[in-house]
Amino acid sequence: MKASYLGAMGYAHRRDFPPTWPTPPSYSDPATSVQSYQEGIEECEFAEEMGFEWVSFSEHHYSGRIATGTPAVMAAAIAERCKTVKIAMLGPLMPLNNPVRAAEELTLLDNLTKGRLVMGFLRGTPNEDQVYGVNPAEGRGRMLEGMDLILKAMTEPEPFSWEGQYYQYRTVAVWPRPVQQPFPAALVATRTDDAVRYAAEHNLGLGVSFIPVEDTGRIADKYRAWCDENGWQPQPDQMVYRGSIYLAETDALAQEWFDRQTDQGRAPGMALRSSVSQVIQATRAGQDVDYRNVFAGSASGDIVGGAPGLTFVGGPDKVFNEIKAYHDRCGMGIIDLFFQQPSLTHADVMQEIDLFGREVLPRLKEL
Amino acid sequence: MATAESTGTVVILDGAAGQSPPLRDGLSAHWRVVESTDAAGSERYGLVGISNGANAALRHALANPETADVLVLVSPTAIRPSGDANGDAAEMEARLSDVQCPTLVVFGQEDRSVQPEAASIYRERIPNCNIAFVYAAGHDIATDRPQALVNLVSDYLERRETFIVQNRSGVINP
Repeated sequence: MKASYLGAMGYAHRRDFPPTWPTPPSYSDPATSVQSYQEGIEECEFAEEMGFEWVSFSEHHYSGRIATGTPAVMAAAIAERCKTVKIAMLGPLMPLNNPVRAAEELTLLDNLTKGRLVMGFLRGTPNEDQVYGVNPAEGRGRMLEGMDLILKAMTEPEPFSWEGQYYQYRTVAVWPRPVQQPFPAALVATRTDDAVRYAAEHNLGLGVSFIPVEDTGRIADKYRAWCDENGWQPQPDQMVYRGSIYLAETDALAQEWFDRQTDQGRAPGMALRSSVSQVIQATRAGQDVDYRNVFAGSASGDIVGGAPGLTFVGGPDKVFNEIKAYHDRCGMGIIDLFFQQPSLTHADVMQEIDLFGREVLPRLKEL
Repeated sequence: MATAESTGTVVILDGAAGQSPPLRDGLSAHWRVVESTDAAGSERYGLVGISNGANAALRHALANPETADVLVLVSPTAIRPSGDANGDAAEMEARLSDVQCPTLVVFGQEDRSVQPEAASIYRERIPNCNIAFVYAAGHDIATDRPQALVNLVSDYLERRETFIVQNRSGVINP
């Protein structure tokens, strides 16, 4: 099993953010922001040094907790600093992005990294639908069509037109061609049947994030069965689980830290107004929205876009065994880890990477 | 989309015996649509070949460059990519460079009856050729995405290779 470091590039003072989304730009001080990205880059470099084999980036908007709204820019910077790791773009968010632009960014990254790119396609958390004005009801359709268009743009040798349901381009001729042929290593990050089936039908990998091992296992079982129907089986590098982590020297120290976060209300997710959240979820599900009922509800926030807790909290043995469960039960070959919890400093994260690299990673590599 | 001023004759040759009705209905708002070259008369006309009908359309365009004004091949089976070519397909592939009129070749993105590499061959060989893929459509594009096909073909018949230029307004609140 291999480990991937999620380059969240969080703003150094993210612990001071209000528990709401979006985070007002007034919280961003340029000097602190510059420092934060430099620290984030150091963390990626150190992760590579400690034996992580991937560094991943994720597209999240309007918050300094994961401060990579344009992950391709960040990936290009890291590709020059980290010379051996795979660069995993686990964005782009398909409903938000022009698929042709995404294809151009991805093929350029595959060239800059000399073929080290891994690309992941995903829909994004519900709050992200609001960023570029995408109708949440169209997110699924845009994702499925966008993946088709990106793969076509990477593989079609002649200029072509695309007559889609959501996208119409009369001239597509993406440069440069990817180094990895016919296209870079790719996975679909999803929990839903149609996208899992799409991955199986197109020989793409599977990414699952932030849900318990049994739920992940059920998705992985379906994926492998559909891969089998399509005459192939995924390799370990094609099955990726992303989880959040807090690692300490002992279970007791980790639990003590975690309890302190809960006491101080530092939830890992970000809140939207309840009314907005309800409308997004209903619209995504294709349901009619009765605004009178929505507005009669609570005006307080609820969690959208984040997990209710951390996936892995503990000392090295406990964390190893919990990650191993995703390998043993679900067949996951890559564990992609989010270390930058809101209350942690750069020094804290560096200590964790060090501890993980010494005490957990060598054992994972033996799986 | 074709404008109200669009006129002229379009000949549809439907080798699939079934794809033409949605296309014929969609095009007939702006063109006189007939289903044989004999019925086209002596004027210049557009030629649309569907599936196996693309073979006849190509041969007709090659033999009658003075009357075939513009050519659209929908899900054409006229040629097969290298390694899969029979005699007729190989001969047709060799003649593609002689097609003189602007040509649009349309494939359903999920068409499994022709290898996707075929599109590139048309594009490479025909001097003035555009290729288009219709998303969520198989070989029978007119059934899977009728409006998309009508819009695409109609736009090409009217504007030919300039159909790549966007002419719809993007203004939201004038």
